[in-house]
Formats: sequence, C-alpha cells, structure tokens
Amino acid sequence: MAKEAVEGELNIDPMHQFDIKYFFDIDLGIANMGFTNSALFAFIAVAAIVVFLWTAVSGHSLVPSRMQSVAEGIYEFVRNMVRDTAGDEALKYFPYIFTVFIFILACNLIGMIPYSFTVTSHFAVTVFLALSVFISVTVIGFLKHGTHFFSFFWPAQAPPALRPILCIIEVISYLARPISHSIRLGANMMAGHAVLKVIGAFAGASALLVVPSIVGVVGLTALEVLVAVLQAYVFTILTCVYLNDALNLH
Amino acid sequence: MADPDGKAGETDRKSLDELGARIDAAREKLEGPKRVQTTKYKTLSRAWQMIVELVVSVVVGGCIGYALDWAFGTLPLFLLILGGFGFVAGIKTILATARGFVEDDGTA
Amino acid sequence: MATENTSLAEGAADAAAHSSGGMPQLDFSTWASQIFWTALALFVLYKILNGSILPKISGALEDRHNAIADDLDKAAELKKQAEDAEAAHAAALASAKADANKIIAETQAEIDAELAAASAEAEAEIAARTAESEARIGEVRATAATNAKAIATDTAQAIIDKLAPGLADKSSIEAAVARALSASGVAK
Repeated sequence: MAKEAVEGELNIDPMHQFDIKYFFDIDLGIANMGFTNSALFAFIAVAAIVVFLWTAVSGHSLVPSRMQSVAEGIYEFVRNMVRDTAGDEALKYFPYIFTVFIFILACNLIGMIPYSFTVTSHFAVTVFLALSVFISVTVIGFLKHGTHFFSFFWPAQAPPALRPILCIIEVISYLARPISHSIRLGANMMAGHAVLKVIGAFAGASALLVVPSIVGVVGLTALEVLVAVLQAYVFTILTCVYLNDALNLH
Repeated sequence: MADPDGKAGETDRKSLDELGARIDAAREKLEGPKRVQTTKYKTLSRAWQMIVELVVSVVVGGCIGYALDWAFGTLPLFLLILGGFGFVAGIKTILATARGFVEDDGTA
Repeated sequence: MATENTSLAEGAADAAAHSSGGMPQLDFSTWASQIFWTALALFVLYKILNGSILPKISGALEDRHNAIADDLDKAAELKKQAEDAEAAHAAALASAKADANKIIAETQAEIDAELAAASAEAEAEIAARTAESEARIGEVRATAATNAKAIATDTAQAIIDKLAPGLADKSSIEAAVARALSASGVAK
C-alpha cells in the first residue's frame, strides 16, 4: 500500500487478487458460510484432479499412455515419499496424504492461471490443512502409544536438571509446527503472486518498462510454477515427517 | 572346420551372458527400492523457512508465557522466559531442518 | 473491497478499513466460509480418490509389475533353454569329434594292416622269384660249366690228337680241364 502512496500514476494493489468475493451468502449468525470464489476454485481444483486422474486411469493399459504414466508417477512419488519418510506402517494413511498433496498441488497450479484464484494463498485454508494434519498426527500418536506418547517430549538422555526445561522447549516446538507448516505454504503462494502482480503492473505504468516487465513476469512465472510444485511437496513431506514422529517416537 | 564352429560358439556364449546381465539388471530395477528425487530448488526456501520457524517458535512460547502471566498476574516474567525457550526451540528446529537438508544433499 | 478506488487516498483507506492492513488473508470474517468449503472439497476429493481412482492406479501398477516380473522369468527361462541347447550342441560336437577320431584311427590301423600284409606277400613273392631265379641261374651255370667242361675236354682232346696223339688219355685230360676250370672259377 505504501507503493500506491509514492507512485503517482502507478496504481498497484498486489493484494487485490486475494479478495474473497461472496457469490451468495449463507449467514449462520456467527459467520457467513456463503459460497465464495475461494470455494469455487477449490471445487475447480477437485474437478480438475478428478477429470485428469480419471482420464488417465480409464485406459488401464499395461503399456501406459502419457497421461497414465504421469498419474502413476505422481502416485508412486507420493507413495515412496510416505514410505521412505514414515515407514511401511504409514502407508495406511497414504490415501489421505495423497489427497492433501494433489489438492495443494492443483490449487497452487490453478492459481498460476491468470485471473484465477489461489485457494492456498489464504491462511484460512493452510491453517486448516496444517491443523488437520497436526490434530490427526497427535491423535494417531496417542492411539498408537497411549500416554507413552508423552515420552516424545521428555528428553530421557539429557542431564536430569535440564529435562523440564528441554521438555517445555519440545512442547513449544511441537506446538509451533502447525503454524510454521501453514505459514510456509500460504506465505509462499501469497508472496509469489503479489510480486508477480507488482511486476506485471509496471508494464501498464510506462512504455519503457513493458519489455523488462514482461521478461520479469515470464521468469517469475516459471519460478512460481516451481514454487507451486515445491510447496506442495514440502507440505506433504513435512506431514510425513510429523507422522513418522507420531508413529515411531524418534 | 573346427575353428569357425568354435568362434560361433564363443559369440553365442557372449550374447547369452549379455542377455543374462540385462535380465538381472531389469529385475533389480523392478524389485529394487526407488529413491525419492530431491530437488535442489528446495534450497530456495531454506532461509525463509528457517526465519519462519524461529519467529513462530518465539511467538508460540511468548503466547504460552503471556497466558501464564495472565493467569498468575506476573506479566513480563513468563512471557520473557517462555519467549526465550521459544527462541531455543526455534534454533533447535532450524538445526533439525538444516540437518535434514544436509542429509538430502548427501543422498541427492 | 478496494475495487474501484478512483482516488488513491480513498482506496488505501478503503482497503485498510475493510481488511486489516490490506491483506484479505487476515480478514477473519471469511475464515469460516473458507474452511467449511475447503473441508467439503477435500472430503469429496478424498471419497472419489480413495473410492475408485487410487485402487485403479495401484491395480495398474501391480499388474505391470507382475507382467514385467513374468516377462523376466520367461526371459530367464529362455536363456536357460538356450544355455542347455548350447551345452547339448557342445556335447554333440565333442562326441562327433571323438567318433571321427576313432574312425580315423580304425581306418588307419586297417590300412596299415593291409599294407603290411601286401608288403609281406610282395616280399614273399620276391623271395620266391629270387629263389627261382637263383635256381635257374645255378642250373644255367651248372649247364654252362658242364658244357664248358665238355667243350674244353673235346677241344683239348682234339688239340692233343692233332699235336701229340697218345700223349694223354681221356681221363687225364678231363682231370686237367676240371682243374683249370676250377682255377678260373667257371665250375666248382
């Protein structure tokens, strides 16, 4: 917003693209649960995933088509990630993890399309995703280990005097997980799109800036596609790491 | 008469051995564990990720401390102590993250 | 929110007023809706993926894995067959070689034997012929010697009769001729 004040002609509002617009309201008194552009694009992502994967697997041939091998590649990639990070036991949670991964990936990539909306650029969504992971993983830990799960926070090898302090530190870092987990994804998606918007707006500001601006936008768009994939990967592998901690207690 | 025959037998042998090696290689590829490819672009978000982890840890610690202060009426005390603990926790997480990167670099 | 900000100051103020600091992300009034619809979308996605798509993919992967494993087994089997065939071929070759060597040796021995027999026969014949020839030569020689004796005796008789009749009788002449002949080696 500071930029708007400084640049006279330049009217850049990089955050405008993240506005939530209600198509219709469902007012429950405490909150408006109306259908928004965010919800629309979340369902577009779901539809895109289902159409893509359904088309890819409908052939079900021994020698895969290009699409089928892409779908199988994603499947094996996530499956190996789960197994390598959290062990064979974690494979029963693979469908959940795969769903989260492909949803984030699709939302991130659909967000790269001009005039679309990036669902994952909102902390509401990423906090929800990270908290779901956090709560599920904690529940899984307690279900598997019972109260023994608390030993996860108790540094048994440390000097006895330091143990309570280290325990508090462990608890803090455990509680910090969902927050950094969600901020990492949301902030990355938001920052990339905001920067793209700013650079793109330079093209409209001055004829001299058109060419460097376009070059910048193209380069950054390529980088953003990379970030979109990378952040989906990072979110998923951290999920696997947390799951591993809960299943195997270090 | 014997010499060309012997040569032919030798080349047959060789091609059979090659076939055997190829079959073994394919089998290993089929059964062997697949390594997850880690991308070097992960380093892009490394610094940013560490800052986030540190700040988040301090804030979480501070929040717990503030809650305790609110409960006991000892305002700056627990806020500072647990904020400090949060800082340590953040450093710890960063070190763990860095170790993860080193391990990744090792396997990549 | 700040969609049609004609004046900048107004726009900024508008944005600031509607969302905290211009970040729609921090407008908590939209959180409930976002979370609800995201959760619903994820639930639907999970149901569809887990219900049909993921089993299909894993089925396809398993089928391929099995097919490749089968093919590899088949290839190994064929390779083994090829090796067996090669071994059989080598064995056949070796036995054929041995047979050939045996035949060669046998033939050689046969030929040697025949040759030996033939040469023995030839030698015997040669010996027989030699003996025969020698016998004939001996006969001829004996005949010649006898003839020579007779001729010499007759000649000597005639000469003596002519030159000195009564000088020597027939028996002494014969003895002298025999002596002379034996000295010249014509007769024994």
